[in-house]
Amino acid sequence: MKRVLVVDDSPSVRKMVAFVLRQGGYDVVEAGDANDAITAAGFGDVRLVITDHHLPGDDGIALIRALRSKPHCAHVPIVMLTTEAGAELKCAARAAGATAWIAKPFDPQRLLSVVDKVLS
Amino acid sequence: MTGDASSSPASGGELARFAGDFLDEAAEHLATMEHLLVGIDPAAPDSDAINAIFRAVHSIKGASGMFGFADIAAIAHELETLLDSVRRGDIALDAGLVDAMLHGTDAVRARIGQRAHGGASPEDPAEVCERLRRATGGRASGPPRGAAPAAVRVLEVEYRAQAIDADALRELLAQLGELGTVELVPGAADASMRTLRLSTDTHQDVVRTLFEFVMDAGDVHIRETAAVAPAPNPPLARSVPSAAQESIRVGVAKVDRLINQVGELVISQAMLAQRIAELDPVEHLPLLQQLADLQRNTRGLQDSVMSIRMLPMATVFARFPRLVRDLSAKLGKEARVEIEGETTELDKGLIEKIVDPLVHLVRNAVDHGIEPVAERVAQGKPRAGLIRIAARHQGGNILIEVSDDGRGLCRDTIVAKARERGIAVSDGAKDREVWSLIFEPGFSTADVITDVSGRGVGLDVVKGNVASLGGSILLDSVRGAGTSVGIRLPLTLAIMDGLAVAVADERYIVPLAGIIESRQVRPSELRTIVGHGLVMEVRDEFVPVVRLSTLFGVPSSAGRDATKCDMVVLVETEGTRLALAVEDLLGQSQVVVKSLDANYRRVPGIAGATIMSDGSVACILDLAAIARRTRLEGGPRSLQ
Repeated sequence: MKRVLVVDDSPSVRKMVAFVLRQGGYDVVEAGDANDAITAAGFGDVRLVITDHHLPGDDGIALIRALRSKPHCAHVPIVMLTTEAGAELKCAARAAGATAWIAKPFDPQRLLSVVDKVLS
Repeated sequence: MTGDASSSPASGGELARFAGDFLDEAAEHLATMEHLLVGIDPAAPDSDAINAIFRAVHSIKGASGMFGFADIAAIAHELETLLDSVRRGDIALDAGLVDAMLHGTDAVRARIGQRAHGGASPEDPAEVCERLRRATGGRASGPPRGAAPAAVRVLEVEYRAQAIDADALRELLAQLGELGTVELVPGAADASMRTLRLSTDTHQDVVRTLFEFVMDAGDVHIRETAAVAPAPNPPLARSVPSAAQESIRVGVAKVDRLINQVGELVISQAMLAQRIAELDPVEHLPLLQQLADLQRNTRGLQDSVMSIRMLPMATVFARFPRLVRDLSAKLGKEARVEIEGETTELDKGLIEKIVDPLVHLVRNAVDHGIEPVAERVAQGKPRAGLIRIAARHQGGNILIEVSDDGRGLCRDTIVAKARERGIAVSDGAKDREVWSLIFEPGFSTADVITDVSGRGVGLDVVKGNVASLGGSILLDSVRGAGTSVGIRLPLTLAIMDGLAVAVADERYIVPLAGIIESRQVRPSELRTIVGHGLVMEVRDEFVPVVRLSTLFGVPSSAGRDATKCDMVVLVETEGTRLALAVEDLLGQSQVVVKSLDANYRRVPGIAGATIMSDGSVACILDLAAIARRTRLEGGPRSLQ
C-alpha cells in the first residue's frame, strides 16, 4: 500500500483527509506541523505528501523546500491542499517544488483523482 | 497502483463524523481569539497577538469550509479580511474594530454552539458579515493583490484538451478570471488543442504555474503577444508561530471509566487490608509491608487518575475580562478585573457547573456593587471599580472569591425589604444573618431592576447551585468599601471525605465538609419544643435533632430507648444547623461516590452510596435535602 503523508494543523481536517485516502486504498501518516512532517518523511517510505500552507512554525512552502533538499524526498510528489488560492502563492509553491494544488474545501472524489494522477 | 474504483471515497455523510472534532477545535480557537482581543491595546496592538488571532480565524475558516459550514466560513472570512488589513497596516486598529471582531467571534461561537448542542438560531450570518464590513468603513481590502497594475499583456495559452478534466478546468478558468479577462480563441489548427487568450498584468510564468498544477508541463504552451513589463515580486504570506500543545484528547467517558475502576481497586485494596489486619503482624511482617506499598501505590494511582479530570480555573475565568468590559460599558461604568489563581485546578464536572453561578456573581458585582464614575470620584475612590476574582485550594476544598470595591450592601435596606416580605428580622441580628437574607428566593435589593442582573431570579439560584455541588457560599460586605462572596467547593464529586456513622445495622456517611462537631450529648442539653420536636441547645442556639433512624425508617437497635439520644453529629448546610442523632461513630474515611440515580433510583435525603472496606454498602447523606425537609415540616419526619 502506498504511504501518503498528510500535513495539516487542524486535527479534524487531517482525520477527514486521512479517511478519504484510506477509503481510496492508501496508507496514511499524519503530521501537525512542518517539523513533524520532516520527521515522518525521514523514514523514506512516504510516496506522496499532502500539505496545508498555513502551519504553526514553518509554512507549507518552507516545508516543501525543506523536503526537496532531502535526497529521499527530492522527487516525492507534493500536493498543496489549502484555502489560499492566490496566483502568487501558487507560483512560490511551484518554485519551491509543489506538484499539484487543491483548494479547500475539496471534493473527496477530486482529491483522490488528483492523488491517483500524481502517483501514476 | 492507484486506488481502485470500487473503493469509492467517503460521502458527505461519512465525513460528518469528523465535524464534532472540528467543533471542539473551533471552540479552542475562539477562546484564543477572545482572550487576545480583550487583552489587545488598540492604540499599540502587539503584532504577535494580531498574527495569532489571524491564524486562529484562518484555521476556523479553512476547516469550517471543509465541513460544509458555509455560514461560519463566511464570517471567518470577513474577520480574516479585516485582520489582514490591520496586519498589513492598511487600517489602524481602534476600540470599535476590536468590538466588531469580538462580535464576530461571538457570532461564530453561537453557530458552533448551535451545531454542537442545537438551540435557537443565531443572528443572520449576512448581517454579521455586513457589520464587520461596516466597522472598517470600507477601508479593508480583500486578499492581498500585487503592486499597481503593470502594462497589460496578452497571453495566448495553448493546451491539450484531454489533459484536464471539467472540474479542474472550471477552477482554472475562475482563477484566470481573477487575473484578467479570458476568452476562448476558436478554430485551432490541431483539434486536440484549445487556445485561451488572457489579457492580464500577470507574468506568464505565473499563468504557466497555474496550468502546470493541473496538467503536465508538456501539455501547455504559452506565448506573449503584447509588450512585457517587469512583474513585481509576489508578497508571500508569512507564517504565524503558535505554541505547540503537548496534549492528547480523550473522551470524558473513558476517563470516568478509569476513575470508576480505580475506585473499585481502592475498595479491593481496603478489603484486603482488613483481612490481613486480622493476621498476626509479627508472623506476617513482609506481607504487611507489601500491603503498605500496595496501599501507597493505589492512592498514588487514584490521585493521578483524578488529576486527569482536573482543569485549571482559567477555563472559567477567561471569560470575565470580556464580560466585565462589556457590562461596564453598557452601564456607563468603569471597571477592571483582577484574576488570581487561575491555575488552581478543579474537577471538570464541577467547573462546568460553577460557571453560571460565578457569571451571576460577577454580573451582580458590576451592576449593583460598582458605583457610577461620578459617585466613585465624589467618594475619593479610583474612577474604575475593581472586580477581583480569585481561586485557591484550602484543605480538600477550593475557595473561589468574587469581590468588588463598590458600595457594599446596605443593612437597613435589606432588613426593610425582608420585613416587607414578612420575614422576621430582629434588630440585633448579626450582619452574617442579615446578609444571608439576600440569598432568599425573590430577594433583590437593587433600587432599579436592570436587564443586566435580571429580575430577582438570582442569588437563591446561585446558592442552590452551589449547595447541589456539595459546596457552601459565604458573603461579607462593608458599606462603602465593597462586597465579597466566597464559594467553597469540594475538589471533585467522585471522591469525598466522610464520617461513617451507625444506626442499628445500617451505616451512613456524613460528608465531612458539613460537619461542625460530633460528640456525646448530655441529657440537660436536650429539650422538646412544641411544633419543633426534639431540639438540642448548642451554645445560645436551639438546633433541631434529626434521628436518622426515624428519617429513613430504620428500627433502632433492640434495647435502645427511642426517646434517648446520646451521640450526635452537628452539621451545618445552607445556613441551617442540624444535630444528627446516631448510635455510633465509626471513623473518618475517604469514600468513592457511586450514584444511586444511575445504579438504583433517587432516594430523598441520600446523595449517593459507597462501598465500605468490608464490602458493605453505605448511603451518603444529602445534608441540604435533610435540612430543607426539616425546615419545611418544622421538625424531622420520616422521608418515606
